[in-house]
Amino acid sequence: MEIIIGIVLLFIAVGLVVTLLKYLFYAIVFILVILWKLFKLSLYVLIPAGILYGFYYLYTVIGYWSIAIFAVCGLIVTAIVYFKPESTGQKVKRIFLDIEMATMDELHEKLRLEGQMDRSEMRRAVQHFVDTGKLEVLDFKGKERVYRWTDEREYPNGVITKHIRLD
Amino acid sequence: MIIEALLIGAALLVGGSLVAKYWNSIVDWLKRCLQKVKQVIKTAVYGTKVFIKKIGEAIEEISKHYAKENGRWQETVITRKVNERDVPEDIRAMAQKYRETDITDELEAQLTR
Repeated sequence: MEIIIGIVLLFIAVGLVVTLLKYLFYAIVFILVILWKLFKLSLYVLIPAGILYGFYYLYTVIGYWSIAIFAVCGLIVTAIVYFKPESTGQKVKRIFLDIEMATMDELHEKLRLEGQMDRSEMRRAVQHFVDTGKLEVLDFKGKERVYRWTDEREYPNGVITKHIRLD
Repeated sequence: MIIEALLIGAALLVGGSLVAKYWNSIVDWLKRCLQKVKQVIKTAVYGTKVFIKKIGEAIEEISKHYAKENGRWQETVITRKVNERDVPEDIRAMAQKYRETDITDELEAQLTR
């Protein structure tokens, strides 16, 4: 009898330990996620503060030459950003921000004109935007799906909408 | 199947139940919507979606018709309000206040029965 009670108690104890460990693991993950988000938020303050401190330090060492050095650095960073080739995702986004709505074929045609031939890469980029809620899918059964950018904004060549009331 | 093709051949649902009356009324309204769209846009309709939305004591029915004209997408949105009492309970339950609910699949299911 004592052996049976002992086994039952052992199972209960193991169950409790496993449950506690599970919640401990969730708590650690939760804390790490919060810390990571706080760290990312703090970068908005830390990076400008670092740049300002760097400028101040250089100014105390080399005086007005620090302005020239910072101007050159700024130019280099701008040039890198400007001349960096666009990713497929950026191209897809740029096209949707212009025309708002397109089928895969239309999108591929536009990308093809820009020298982008890889259809699977384009599909991956579109799927990413669908998964993140940036694109909505209009599924007209029997026809090619149409994708529409979801942001409420002005699109230079976007969808022309007409409203009619018909009772 | 494409909803426009289904609507053209749609026969009235038999019976005097609220469900049959509702779908018959929506089919009739959508047929009139398609005629209206043909007057507004010159090209063929690519696709149609039907939504509902709750507005106070009424339900707003919204049909959105998409077409491509001169290389640019056109959207014709046609709306009408119906009394909440005229909408079957299951459809009424789907309607939300600040969000349109897509009932295209439900309509297609009725049309292909």
